[in-house]
Amino acid sequence: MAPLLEISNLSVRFHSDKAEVFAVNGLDLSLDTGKAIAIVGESGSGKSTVMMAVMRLLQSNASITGQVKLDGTDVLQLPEKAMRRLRGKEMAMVFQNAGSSMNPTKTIGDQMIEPMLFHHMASARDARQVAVKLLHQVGIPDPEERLNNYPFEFSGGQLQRVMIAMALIADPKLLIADEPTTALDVTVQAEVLILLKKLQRERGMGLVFVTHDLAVAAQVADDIYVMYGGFVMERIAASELTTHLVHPYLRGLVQSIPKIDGPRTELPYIPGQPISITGGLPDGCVFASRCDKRFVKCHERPRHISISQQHSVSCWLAEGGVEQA
Amino acid sequence: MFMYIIKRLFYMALAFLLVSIVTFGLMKAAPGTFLINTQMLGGVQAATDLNIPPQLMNSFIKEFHLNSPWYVQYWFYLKGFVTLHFGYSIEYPSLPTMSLIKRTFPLTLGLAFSATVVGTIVSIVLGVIAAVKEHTWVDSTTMFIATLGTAIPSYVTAIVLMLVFGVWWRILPILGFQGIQHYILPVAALVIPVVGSMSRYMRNSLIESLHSDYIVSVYAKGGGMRQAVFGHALRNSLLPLITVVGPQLAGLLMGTVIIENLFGLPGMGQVFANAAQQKDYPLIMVSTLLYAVVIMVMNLLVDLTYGGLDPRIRKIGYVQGR
Repeated sequence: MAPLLEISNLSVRFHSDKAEVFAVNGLDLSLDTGKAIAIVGESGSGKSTVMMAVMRLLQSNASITGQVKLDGTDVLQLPEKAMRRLRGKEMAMVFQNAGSSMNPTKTIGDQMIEPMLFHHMASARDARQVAVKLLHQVGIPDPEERLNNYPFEFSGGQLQRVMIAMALIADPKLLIADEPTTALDVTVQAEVLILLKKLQRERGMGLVFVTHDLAVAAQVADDIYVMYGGFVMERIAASELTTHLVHPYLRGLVQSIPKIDGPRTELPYIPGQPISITGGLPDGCVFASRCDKRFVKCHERPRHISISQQHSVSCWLAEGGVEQA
Repeated sequence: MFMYIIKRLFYMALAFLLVSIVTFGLMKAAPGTFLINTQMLGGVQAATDLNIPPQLMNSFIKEFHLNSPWYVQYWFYLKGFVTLHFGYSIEYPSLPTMSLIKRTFPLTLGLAFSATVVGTIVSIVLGVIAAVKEHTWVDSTTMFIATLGTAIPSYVTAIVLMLVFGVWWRILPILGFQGIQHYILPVAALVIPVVGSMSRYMRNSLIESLHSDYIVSVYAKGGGMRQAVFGHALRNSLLPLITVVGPQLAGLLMGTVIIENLFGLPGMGQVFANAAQQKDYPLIMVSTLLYAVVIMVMNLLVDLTYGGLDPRIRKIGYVQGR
């Protein structure tokens, strides 16, 4: 079966007066129906840009090359009008900050039913019925009354649930969640994660989860893509994350997760600053300048090497099956 | 919302009191009196020299409380205005001030009101066109013309309008008032300078709205430019616009004084200007306070519109982070 979403060799560059920004550089990704993947990376790693490129919601100063196939159709080749028919219906998005991503002066009901209205799927009245059902599913009490409330009358966690319900109203095949829990506190974050995962399973949707939090990614996703400097550093199954990881960057990330138990030691961290992708890229590995395993070969850009079917990595250390535990 | 209105009304009363005190103070502080200004050299003594009977002078003094301390005089003006007992003015002793106002005020009010409505609508339309076509020639042309309108003072605009439409093309009347068509040029002359700044404001406000996160959500839901502008951004960008409409109103109402003069309209503006020139104390007080009340009522309406447009103001009385 062909994957639901298949991205190959995707590059995104932003042009400004001063310099070119190399946001995404030749990314490959695939997601099967009913599966969940996570894209993990620091700020500026290009993780959100990838998904905004899939939705084709980037500003006009972005140039996108490569292929993004949704159900076999390359969405990058579609005219804007055809693209609009996909957005909100075939693929929907949940944004990071629910507070600013909802219009403060319209009721959440009016905003929730918009995907159905835009795609002529139902009358406003019927759409509101669907919205009530969905609000109930995502755990908003008194959904019928809450429909007439404004975003400022909800708490952050509730609003994120409303956003999820809004994204699901037109029954999309692909749900993209761009750091949906980052702005929430930890307990609420867990609730929203469980909810997202549950809805994804029930509906058999494909889910792309964009986050900077490895722990969250490991909980939600089947496959994890670790991005740095606009490249995928490592693609690994969530179940193998702690045991089979290869890339020194990913190792650094895993080690820098604080532990609650055990003796208090100094928290290991990755030295240096995230690479600047403005103006140009280094010839070699983008992570080389911060890497403690760096050697001569790192002056050349590493290929993306498959280790197993679900595991691939961009690092010279993996060449020839060398796996450093 | 109810508390919001009560609060606004309270502020209005406070502002009214301040305006009346300041007007009274300035009026009294300005050199000269009605008598001096009407070539009578001033004072009771001088009036006797000019053969004005002392009885008349005394009744004059008594009627306007000219010998009483300032707070008594002030009190009588204030009481008279609030209870709508405007009395007579010094300049028009045979005509009750109330009838004078009834005869002239509706025209001025109509002028200011239509200018406000027309100006706001035109500004919104131009602002939306410019914002939707951001950074194209449509945008820059619209904004250039708008700026031109602001840069040229309204009395120059008025004269150009009179020349073009009244003298060259002869399609619109330029003097006097005999019907609605006499409103067109004065309103245009008032509106053009206002539109310049307001449409620019509207443009920037709409562009800002169009770049906010919730507009990305609209596109992500499958909406297009039309849904983004008319379904979401327009209404939200009206909020900051409305804030500047208030102060513009005051300017508009004051602008009517010049425009009425230019177009020979028998409005309140002339009465107001004359009263100030002649030191006609009662008329100055009444007309200034009347203008103040109109501006405050219009501002109240603006604020109520604000509450109508923004549920946060309606429901909790303020907007967080603004």
